[in-house]
Amino acid sequence: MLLAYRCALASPRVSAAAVEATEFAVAADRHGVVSVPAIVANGRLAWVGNLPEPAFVERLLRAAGARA
Amino acid sequence: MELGEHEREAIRGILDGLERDVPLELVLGPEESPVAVIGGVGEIDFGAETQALLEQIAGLSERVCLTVAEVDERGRWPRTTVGERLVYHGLPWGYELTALVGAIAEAGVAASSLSDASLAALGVLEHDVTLEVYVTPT
Repeated sequence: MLLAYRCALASPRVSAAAVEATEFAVAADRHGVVSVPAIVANGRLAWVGNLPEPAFVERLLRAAGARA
Repeated sequence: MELGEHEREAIRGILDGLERDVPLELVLGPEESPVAVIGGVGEIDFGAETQALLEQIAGLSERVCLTVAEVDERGRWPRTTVGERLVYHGLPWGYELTALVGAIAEAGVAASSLSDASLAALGVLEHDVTLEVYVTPT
């Protein structure tokens, strides 16, 4: 979670929110979340699990469409 | 939910490193699951517990200022906003308390803790990206 927050602080193009999956089960189900942490980027489940910083940023960039 | 003395000391130590004020905004409203029964814990009122937790955290540093608002419309409440842009939907308990305190710590200092390479990569972002990280307390 902290990596997402750090990225949001570093770039005005990134927004980051944590969502407690058991409290918001409807949203979690809608995105197909079955384990955590699950990262939904621009409304789509992008990846699951903790990643080291370089891989996290790489996935974020892909999700943003900066890298195809 | 009462923080233990050990937790209070640990959080106070982190908040002592704040270089600037960090506002916390808590918004309460009609919740999707207003009360849950958790095994071994009993009933949990997420909004009330979040407010109690944030009040304790804000009480540990003069640089952390909590405001609380209530709304009538349904939504993802409780919602905590740290600084201007870091959002937490729900009760940040258990392991996720670390994430919330970490968010306050990150928002309260000027320098990013990301690597130069990550900062350079993020600096060339041409499109917006909205991240939602689904978490659980443990």
